[in-house]
Amino acid sequence: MSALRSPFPALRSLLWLAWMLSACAATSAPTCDDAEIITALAAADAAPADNQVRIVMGWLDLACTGTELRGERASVEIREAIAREDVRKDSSAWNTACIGGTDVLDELSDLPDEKRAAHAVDRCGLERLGIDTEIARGWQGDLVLYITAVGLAQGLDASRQGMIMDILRRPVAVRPEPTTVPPEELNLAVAITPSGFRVTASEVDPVDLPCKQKGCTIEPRDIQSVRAAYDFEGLRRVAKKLKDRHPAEKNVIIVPHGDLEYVVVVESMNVLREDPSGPADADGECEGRCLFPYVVLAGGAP
Amino acid sequence: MRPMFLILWANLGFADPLEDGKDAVDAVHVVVTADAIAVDGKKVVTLDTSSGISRIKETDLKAHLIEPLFDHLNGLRGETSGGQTPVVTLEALPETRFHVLRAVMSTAGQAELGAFKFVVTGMPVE
Repeated sequence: MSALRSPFPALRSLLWLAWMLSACAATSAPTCDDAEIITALAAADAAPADNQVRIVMGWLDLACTGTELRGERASVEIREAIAREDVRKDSSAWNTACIGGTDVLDELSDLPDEKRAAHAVDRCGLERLGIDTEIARGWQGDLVLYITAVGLAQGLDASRQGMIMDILRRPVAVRPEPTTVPPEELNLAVAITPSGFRVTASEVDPVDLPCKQKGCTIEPRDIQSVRAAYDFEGLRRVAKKLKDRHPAEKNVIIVPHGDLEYVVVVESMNVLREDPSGPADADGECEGRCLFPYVVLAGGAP
Repeated sequence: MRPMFLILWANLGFADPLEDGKDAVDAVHVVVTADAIAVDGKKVVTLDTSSGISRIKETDLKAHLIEPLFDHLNGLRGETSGGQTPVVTLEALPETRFHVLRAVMSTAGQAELGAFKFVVTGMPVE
């Protein structure tokens, strides 16, 4: 399996050929057809590098139907490869697929015969979907489909192999050029009314934080009374959660009611500006963890 | 005309000491008291307190623009230099209603003074 690491497609193909021939030679009839192997290798050489091994294995899997590769030997090959770590370990997807392959073996062995085919097809479709997703993210997969295929195939009779192969041989997803996807804007807005706060943002349902005291009355006029009237703790808690999801976001729109007292507006800005209990940002913009220090004050209700 | 948005780069605090000695061209100090609005120590607008709550007199107000304040702030623009936008330090009593401050900020914005620091007077420093 270490041959898969070869950066040279032709060499890789030859190594695969040698491996497959030795594997097939060790089995009883029916054996792999040399012509099928050659066809597979030719197709692989003509394909983009990322798809080569996949195509080889798809063809060989089909060509070697009924050989010992589909039986216990396949299982041993997979488990040994994992044990040797003689596989690509640079991708969590790879490890997942290896584990998934052996899981499939176990799953199928537990199923009654009449349910194996449907389960295998479903599972194979899911595996394929997951692999395409990983490829779209930039992962260069190769052996995953093979391992899945042989794992699935062990539980199937030869007449059902075509269903699996049809899935495996669908065109693979084209890996897109790396792009920088702009993060979704948070559009955080906090309305301050005589009944409390209402927090709205792009991806969450509005959060209402009612006054802690009826009518948000501030008496006597000191900062403790202000903080006792409005749910500033709740406001900061919501702000911190939103900041966790959008760490780069710094903007907030504050919409105070026209009759609101200045001190409440300022304290709201203070609360939304930073979390004193958090670590200070590297740029020194905030003394604690910066939350949303850039404020747009909207005109609000009259 | 509502809602109207004012862009503020907020530096906030309660009764923070003002930066003494800062060049006047870099900062404008607007104070809202119970009965007046002053700019850099000079009373510019007299507020209506007849209802017990400070309000801007209708005669001074055009939409959200406080005309005497606008004229004064507009005059300050000629005194600024270096192309930097002065920061307005807006100091007000804690009970000052937002509609008054909204008008002050809107007027300052019309005078191309759109960056603010906020100070609440009459509240103890923590």
